Amino acid sequence: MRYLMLVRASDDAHPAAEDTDPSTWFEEAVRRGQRLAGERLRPPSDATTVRAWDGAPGAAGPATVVHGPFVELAEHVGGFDLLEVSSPQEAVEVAAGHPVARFGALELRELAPHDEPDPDGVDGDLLPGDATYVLLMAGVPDAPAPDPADTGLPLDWVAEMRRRGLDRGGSPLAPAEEAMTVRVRDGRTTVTHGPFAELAEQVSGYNLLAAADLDEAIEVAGRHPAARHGVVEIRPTWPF
Amino acid sequence: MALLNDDAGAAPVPEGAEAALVRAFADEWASVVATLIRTTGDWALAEDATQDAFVAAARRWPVDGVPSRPGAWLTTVARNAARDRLRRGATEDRVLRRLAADPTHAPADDDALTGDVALTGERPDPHATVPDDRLRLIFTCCHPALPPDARVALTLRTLCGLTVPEIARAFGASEPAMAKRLVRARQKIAHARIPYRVPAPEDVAERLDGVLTVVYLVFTEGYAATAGSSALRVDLCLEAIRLARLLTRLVPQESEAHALLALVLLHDARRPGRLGRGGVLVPLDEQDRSAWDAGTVEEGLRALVRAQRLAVDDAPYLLQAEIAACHSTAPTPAATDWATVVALYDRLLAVAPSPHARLARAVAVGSAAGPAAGLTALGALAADDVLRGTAVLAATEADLLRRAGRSAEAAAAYRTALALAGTDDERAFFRRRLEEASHTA
Repeated sequence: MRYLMLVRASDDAHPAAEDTDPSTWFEEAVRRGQRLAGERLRPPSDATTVRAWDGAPGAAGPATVVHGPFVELAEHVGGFDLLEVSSPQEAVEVAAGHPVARFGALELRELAPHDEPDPDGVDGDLLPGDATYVLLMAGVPDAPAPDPADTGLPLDWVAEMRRRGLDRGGSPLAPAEEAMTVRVRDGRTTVTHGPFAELAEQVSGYNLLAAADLDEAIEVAGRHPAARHGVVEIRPTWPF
Repeated sequence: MALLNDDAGAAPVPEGAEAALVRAFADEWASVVATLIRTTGDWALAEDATQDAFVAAARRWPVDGVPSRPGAWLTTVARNAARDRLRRGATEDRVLRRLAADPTHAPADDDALTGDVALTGERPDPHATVPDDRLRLIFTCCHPALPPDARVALTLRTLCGLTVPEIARAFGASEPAMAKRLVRARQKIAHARIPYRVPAPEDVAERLDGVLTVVYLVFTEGYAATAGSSALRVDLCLEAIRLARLLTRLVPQESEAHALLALVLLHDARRPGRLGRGGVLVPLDEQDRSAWDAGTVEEGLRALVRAQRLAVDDAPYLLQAEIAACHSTAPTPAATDWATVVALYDRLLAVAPSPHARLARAVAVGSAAGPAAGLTALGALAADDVLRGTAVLAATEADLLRRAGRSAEAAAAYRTALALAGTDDERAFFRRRLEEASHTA
């Protein structure tokens, strides 16, 4: 089973020196075949949020671009890793080994793919040199469907982005209430069932994107069905 | 200065150096910065190097004379200063190579870089291969992915050349906070790869709205003066007018650019009549209209005609400029075509509803149909989230009550406005009105 591990850390966290470098964790997780991909993200001040509705969700309108993340939190998403594990317990164990678990939190979200993965590419495989962005999709509470015929499934979108060579993989996630949040404090692992914070807007899916610049990323994000039902946050990646 | 290697001839007119420097700062700053950003990709470096070039000009021009092409001179010196700064830093080899490889570096090409094409009145083509660098700069500074306050600050810093302390003072912010805002904005441009280019043709109209908003914000900050000294406010108004004028040259086909220029000019023309003795704010209906700057009104009306010719539909700046023109062309407040003003506000509220437009409409109704009708229109605004508890709402109500002859209620409303006022000018005005109302009560 596959999990998206959202790495959450607070700006004012004071990690111990040995906890600032996750490379040992990476090497170990890759060696054991548990980590498929991952990216570090630029801070929320570099985020841009796109929605394709006007006034209220569901009301059709032009794409609206807003600076910043879709929700301001002390513990923002600072990165993610895509895990391949055989059980939820193994996912927790992998997450607990990540250094951020000792000063931040790791939110584990099982993937709920809507189709088969791209046979030509490994999910989450970003190519070096690409201008890369992570799109974080989030629902907005009580948003009606913009059109009863609009299922919100991004099949056409994915097909088009693959044709344009922009898609680097992604997936909807299982509902937030099925999330597990892992923290390690004083050597003890605690697992909270549910997302790391109770929020109206929860990350409901993600996509990796290779785009020429932010304008192209905004155009692509604004056409994802999630922008009609909720919001899409664009976060530039931060190469290691 | 050993850096200088251009061949722009220098005419020996040292007595005009200071005036030439002031004019060059107004005319060339944005072009030089815009060109340097394109060639270095580094916003902070471009600003610093342009600053260096003006410092060099202040030292050299009084001695050597003003170069025949100040823009070319400044661009070349700024480029050399950028290279110097990079060499001293010795970290950005990549940028140095780009500077060296820039095919437009040859001095012969400098005219093409400094935007003279646009200034000589030729219609610039936004889709040409080399658009005016200042147009890219404006669209990037006003990109919707930047926070609105950062767009304003970045525009004033990069396009207008205001210093960080000046911008901080104008907006009542601390210098470190303003510096941080600018650093964050530049970082986001670099990290999120906000492109340095004019948007695609189909996006220009929508993105231009954001640009016009920034220019209008700069103007209203200077005009309404929520903070800062009077002198700085005038500076902001003049910067906004200059930006609006520049936009009408860069995107001459856009009606709203001309409409915004008309709007800011028509308002700015009233500035001499707006502040009375002791800096007291004088309301529109009491201003000495002969003090208004007739030349500025003329220029504003001409811009409005151009906007009207290009307009295809009702648009916010066009309607606001038409309202301003109604006032500017009326010899007395009583001679104002108030019915037309009310009708224009109704159309404005249809395309761009805002609490302040509703408030202004109520005032116009008060003049068109009498203070009682104005108070009725105002009554609907008491519950407005934006206006509730503001000095301007209390003052408007007080004024209509005063005109309706309800002096005691007017005095009470002026007392409320006085307590809520944000500037000394406003307080002085409300105090005077309160005294008048108390005498007649």
